[in-house]
Amino acid sequence: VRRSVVLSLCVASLAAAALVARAGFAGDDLEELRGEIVRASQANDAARVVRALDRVASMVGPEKAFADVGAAADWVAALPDGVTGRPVVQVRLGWMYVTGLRGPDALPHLEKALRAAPSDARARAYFAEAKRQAGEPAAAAGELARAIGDGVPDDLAEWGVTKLVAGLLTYGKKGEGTALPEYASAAETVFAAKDFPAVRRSVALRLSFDAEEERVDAERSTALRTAAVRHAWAYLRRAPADGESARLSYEASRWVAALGDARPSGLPERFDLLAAAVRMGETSDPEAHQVPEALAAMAEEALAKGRFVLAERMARRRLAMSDSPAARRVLLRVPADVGD
Amino acid sequence: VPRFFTVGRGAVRRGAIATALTAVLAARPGLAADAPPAPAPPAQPPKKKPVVPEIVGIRWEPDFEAGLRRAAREGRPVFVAVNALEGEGANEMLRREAYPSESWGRASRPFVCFAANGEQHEERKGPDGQPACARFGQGPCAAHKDALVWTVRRFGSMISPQHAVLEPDGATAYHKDYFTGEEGAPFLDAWAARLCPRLVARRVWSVRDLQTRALTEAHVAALEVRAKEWLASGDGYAPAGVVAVLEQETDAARRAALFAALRTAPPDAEAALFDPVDAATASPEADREATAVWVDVALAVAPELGDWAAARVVPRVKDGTAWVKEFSRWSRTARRIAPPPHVGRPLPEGLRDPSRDVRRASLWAASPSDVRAAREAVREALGDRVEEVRVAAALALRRAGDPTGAETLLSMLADPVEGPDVRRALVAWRGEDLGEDPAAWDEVLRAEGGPR
Repeated sequence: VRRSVVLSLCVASLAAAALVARAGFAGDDLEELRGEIVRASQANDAARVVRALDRVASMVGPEKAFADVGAAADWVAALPDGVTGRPVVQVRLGWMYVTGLRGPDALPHLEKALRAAPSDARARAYFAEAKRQAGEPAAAAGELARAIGDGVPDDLAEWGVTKLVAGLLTYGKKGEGTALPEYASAAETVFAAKDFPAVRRSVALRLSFDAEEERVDAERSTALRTAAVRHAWAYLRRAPADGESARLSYEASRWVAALGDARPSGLPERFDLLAAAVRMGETSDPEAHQVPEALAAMAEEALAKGRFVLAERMARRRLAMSDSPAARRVLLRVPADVGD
Repeated sequence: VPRFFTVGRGAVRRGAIATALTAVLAARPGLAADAPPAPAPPAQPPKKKPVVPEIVGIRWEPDFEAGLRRAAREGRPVFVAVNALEGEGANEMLRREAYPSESWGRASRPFVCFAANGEQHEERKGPDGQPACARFGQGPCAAHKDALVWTVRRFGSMISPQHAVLEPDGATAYHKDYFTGEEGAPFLDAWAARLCPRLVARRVWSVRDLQTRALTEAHVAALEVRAKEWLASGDGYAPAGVVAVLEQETDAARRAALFAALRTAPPDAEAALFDPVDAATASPEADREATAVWVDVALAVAPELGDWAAARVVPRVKDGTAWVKEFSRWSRTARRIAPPPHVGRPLPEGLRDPSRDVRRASLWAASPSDVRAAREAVREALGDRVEEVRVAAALALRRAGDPTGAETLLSMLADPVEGPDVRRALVAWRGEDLGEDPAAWDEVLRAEGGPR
C-alpha cells in the first residue's frame, strides 16, 4: 500500500510539473510572439508578420494557449495599434473571428482592410461570411458575388455560397406573395456572378418542395415552381449524364406539367426536360434505362406533340423493360402505320 | 479462461517458454519439416442457412424511394395503405386482421406495397433480420413516415385508413379515403390484371393452378364452357389465365374453343389481350388466320384495342385482296383509323380527314390556285398537331405566294425541338441542304417561285 501511495504521488507531481512547464512555455511563447509581431511590423516586413500570426493560429486547441480561435483573435486585436492597423493583420483578424463564428467582431477589421484594398477578393469573401454571421444574408450574397467578380479562389467561393444557402435553407425567411424565399434570392445573387451546380441543384429541389407546400396559394406556388424549373434547367445543361441527373430532369418535367398554362415563355417545355431525362438516363444496355418512367412520359408528350414515330419508339422501349399501362395507352393512340 | 492464468506463476513461465520454443521451431524450416504432420482439423458441420420466416401477409417495402424505383423498373403497380390513426377501429382491424392475412398477402405479391404512418414506434428485429417498426413488423418507421408524407402531398388527404393504387410509372389508378370494404384480395387481383398483365400471366400458373389445370386437362368439347365459366366468375386473373393456356395450346380445335371463350371476356381483359394482339398484328402475314382471330377477339372485347389492331393490319399486308374478307368485316373501324396512305383528297375535304397521311398528301398535291381557294383551311392546318402536316401547310401557302408560309417555316426552323425535322422536310423539298442557320433559309423561303 505504501509503495503504491508513493508511486501515485510521484506520478501526480510529474503531471503537475509538466502542466506548469507547459503553461510557462506557452506564456513565454506568447511573449516572444508578441515581440516578434511588433518587431516585424516595425520593420514593415509583412511576410514576417503573417508567419507570426500563423503561429498564433496554431496555438489554438485543447491544452494550448488559446481555447478557441476567437480567443486568439482577441489576443491579436489587443496588440498595439501600429500592428493591428496594418491591412494584413486586419484581414487575418477578420478571418480568425469568422472562423470562430464571431462575424460581428470581424466586420470592423474587414471593413478597414477593404477600405485599404477594395479589390482584395479573399478579404471580401470573409467579409461576406461575417455579414452572414451578423444576420445580413442579402448583403452577404452581394459581397460574395463581388468577391467572385474580383477573382476569389473557387474553393473559398464555394465554401461561402454553401454556408450562405445552407444556413438560409434552415433559418431564412420564407418570403410572401411571389417573392422568393431568402435562400433562393441570395443564391440567385451569387449565381449571377458564378454558377455552383451542386448548390443550384439543392435550391431547385427545395423550391419545388416549397411550391408543393404552398399549393393553396396558386400565385406563390407558380412563382416558386417557375424558379425551381429555371434552376433545374440551368443545372441540367452542364450536369453529368447519370441516373441522378436524369431523375432530376424527370422530376422537373413534372413541375413544368404542374405549371400548366402558367408556364412563362422562356422556361423549358416538358418535352425538353423529358428529352434530357431520356438522354441522361441511358445505360450501356440499350434495353435498359435508369428512369423508366421518363420513357413512358416522353412517349405521352411526343404523342401530344404529334411526333408519332418518337412516341411509338419510346413506348416500345418502355414496354421492352417491363409492364407499363401508360406506354400501352400511347401505342393505342399512335397512327396505325407507324412503327415496325 | 486459459489454464496458465489459473494455476500460478510457474504455469505462466512454462507457457511462455513453450510459446517461445514453438516460435523458434516454426521459424526454422528444417526443424518444422521434421515435425510430424498435424492432425486434420475436425470436419466443420455444414453451415445452416439462416431461416427467414415467411411473411404470409402483405410485404411492406423497407425504403420508400427505392420502392418507387423498383416498381417502375420491374413494372409493378404500387399499393399504398395509410394506417395512421392508431387505436381507431377500422385502422386496427386492417392492421391486425386484413393486411397480415394470407388472402391479402397473396393478392398483393405483384405490387410494391407501402404502409403509411407518421408515428415513431418501438424497434424490433424484422423477419429479414433488419430493424423493423413494431407496429407493422416490417421495415423501419422512416419508410412509413416517408410514405405518409408522400401520400398527403399527392392526395391532400389526412384521412386514415386510405388506400391508393398507382401504375408502375406513378400515375394514380385508384384512390379512396376510409375503408368501406372495397379493398381486398379480389380488388388487388383485378388491379394487378389491369396494370401488370405480364406479371399476372406468369403468376397465374401457380396462384390459379386449379383453374389452369382444369383448362389444360379439359376435353375439347368442354373447354369453351370451362373457360367461359372462369371468365364469368369475376376473377381478375381469368383473362390472363385463358390467354396463357391458349398460347401454349397447339391443337387447332382447342385453340378455337379458347378463342370463342375469350370473345365473352369482360372489357377489363384488354390488358391481358394487348401483348398477343400487338404481336399478331405487327406482322400479320406470318399467321394470317391467328391474326384475324386475335383482331376479332379484340374487337369483341375492347373496341378501342380492336380498332387499333384492325388499323395496324391494313398498312402491313402486302396483298390486300387476300384479306378482303377480314377488311370487309373490319371496315367500319379499321378504315376510319387508317385509310390507305395513297388516298389523297382535294382540299379542303382532305384537311378534314383524320389520317395525317391524307391531310399531308392533300396539301402536297394541291396547286397554288387550290391553296388560294382554300386559304383559310390551309392556314388552320398550320396549327395541326402533326408536324409533317404543319410543314406541308406552310410550304403550300408559300407556293401560293402567301407570306405566312415562309414566316411559319422560319419560326419552325428556329425551334429547338421541331427545327431538325422541318429542316429535313425543307431539304427534301429543295433538293439541297442550306445548313442549320435559319438566315440561310430565309432568303430562299422568302424568294418568289422556287421548286415545288
